[in-house]
Amino acid sequence: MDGISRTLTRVGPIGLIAAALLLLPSTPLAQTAANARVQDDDDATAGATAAVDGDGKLRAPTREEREDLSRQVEQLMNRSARSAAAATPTATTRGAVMAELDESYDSLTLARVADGKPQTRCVETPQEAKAFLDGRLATPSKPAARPLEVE
Amino acid sequence: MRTHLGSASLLLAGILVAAPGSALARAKITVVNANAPGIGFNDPTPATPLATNPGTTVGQQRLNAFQFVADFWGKHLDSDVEIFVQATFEPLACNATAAVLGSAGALTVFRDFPNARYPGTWYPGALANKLAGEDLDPAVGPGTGNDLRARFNANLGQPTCLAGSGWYYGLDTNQAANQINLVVVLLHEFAHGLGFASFASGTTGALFAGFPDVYSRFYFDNSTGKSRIDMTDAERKASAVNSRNVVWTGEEVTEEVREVLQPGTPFLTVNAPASIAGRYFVGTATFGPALTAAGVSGPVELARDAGGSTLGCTPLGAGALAGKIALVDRGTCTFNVKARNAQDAGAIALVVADNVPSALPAGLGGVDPLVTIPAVRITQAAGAAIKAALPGVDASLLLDMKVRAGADPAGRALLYTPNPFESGSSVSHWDTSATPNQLMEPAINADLTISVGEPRDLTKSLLEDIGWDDEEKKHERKKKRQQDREHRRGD
Repeated sequence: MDGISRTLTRVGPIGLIAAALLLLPSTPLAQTAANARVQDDDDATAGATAAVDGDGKLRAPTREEREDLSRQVEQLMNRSARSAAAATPTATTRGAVMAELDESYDSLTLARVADGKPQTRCVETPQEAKAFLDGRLATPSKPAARPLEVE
Repeated sequence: MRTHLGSASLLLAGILVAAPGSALARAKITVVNANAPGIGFNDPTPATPLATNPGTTVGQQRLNAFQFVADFWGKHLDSDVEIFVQATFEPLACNATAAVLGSAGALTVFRDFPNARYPGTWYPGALANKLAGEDLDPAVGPGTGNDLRARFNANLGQPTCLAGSGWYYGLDTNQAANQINLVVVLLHEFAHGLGFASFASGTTGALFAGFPDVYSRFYFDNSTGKSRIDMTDAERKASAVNSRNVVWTGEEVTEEVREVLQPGTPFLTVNAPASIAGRYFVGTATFGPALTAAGVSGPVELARDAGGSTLGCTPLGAGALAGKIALVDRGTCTFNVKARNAQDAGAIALVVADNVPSALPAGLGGVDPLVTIPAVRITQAAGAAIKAALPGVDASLLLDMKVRAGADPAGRALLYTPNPFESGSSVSHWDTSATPNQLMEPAINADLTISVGEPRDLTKSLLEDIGWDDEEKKHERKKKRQQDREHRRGD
């Protein structure tokens, strides 16, 4: 097996899922101008489609957008299958035991808009991804970090 | 056939030669461009060269950023075996306001290979190769198997993908507020692929294919007194949500904690009654004065307004809380309004009891330059315990300078084990209380620098603990630490 074939075999099923997702009808996106000011609030953002608010700041995701992306992330991560997804370990010619890891073992970095800026987070479970996208991951006490909640 | 980044490496040569220490690279990390022509790393869209990234196309700038990170890690690690990173830029899931930025991880794990430091223990492929001194991948022969996988989002910044934001391809931290620094995200994700990760299941606690990983050998639960490798599946599952009670026991990290993490962890210490005496975690506020080592002390009183509400959203009466630490419930109004009302009633500090359960209290957001008393949040459970003991609760709100921010009282770095598990990741990050912000916290904070080692960061030390070390350098470091300790004693 040559190098490029090896590369392709390791792209794995998640890569194929990602490609398939791109073919799905996309959610309403930024082409529509919606200049009303929107807050990081479910009701206020319902139906909003522009990525910036009336002040030109990046706006937070709507509930629909969060749920849409959470679904896609869950499909990508497929964490519930983590253990089952592990390839059967095999003995190597050098006396070691080897196992290949599929993409369910990768960490995933997400971004969402909060306070007009992108926030990034490395997640390892679909549940954590959803919590992050929903804005539920307030930062515990740390002087250097700005908490999410003001009330 | 492998597609190497020849042109990108050459373009970067000028920059890297100028970077301090870059000529001393000890491990060669090669980025394998797995994109088809015309897309991803091969995207021919013209780009304006940046001060630190001379690429003239989008694809070239992406390549430069990847190879920069590969070289950066290469000069901090030691290995005689070349490391290959299978890399692509491709469309990943996103919408206008949220996106998958990318993913990365090890492609293979090995156990019981020649020179493995621990038998029956999984190592990520690149580290196993380093320790064995040869490429262990039997499928394609030495030097041709990829060790890490990295996939990043090619559509970021387009109208359908986090519109208004986008990647910053500079090889520095001069990104605009609306941009995401690719180099910093890559530094983080490469670290996971190099071994800053456990392969056990966070949801069941089951080990990967029945054997522990090397990361878990340094994971220790202070509550149970057990290392992760000695736990049952059920114990591992429980430990993964044992907030602020799980630490890293590796020598390199523990030695560096005192150099990297700031002294001072905020606590609410209940002095009396004895039934609830002890230290309670607090979340600090972005308004009002910072907590001090001396702190404030006094009786705790549940603040009630004229209508009997304990929310602290309306005036509490001038002097009604003079000399007291005011306790209010979270809800209805902003935290700084509660603080102003407590302050106006004469309180010396404000404690907000959360209104939802959590293992750790989050901070208090808001801005109010007129707040002059310290304010903190405690958990709902802590609030209930204190209320039940009132009156007669005496407490202190202070910064314990003996406990570093992000470490336990014994000086060991805390791992991120949030409760509930679903609201946090598995154990493969530092705790979010670490200060200054660490590269390997789950949140990739905007104030991070391009640094993986002391005096700023603990990532490199953790990788050294699991085996990415050099015996000679380790010996030198030990000797220097001993000298430093003796010097301090002499002072």
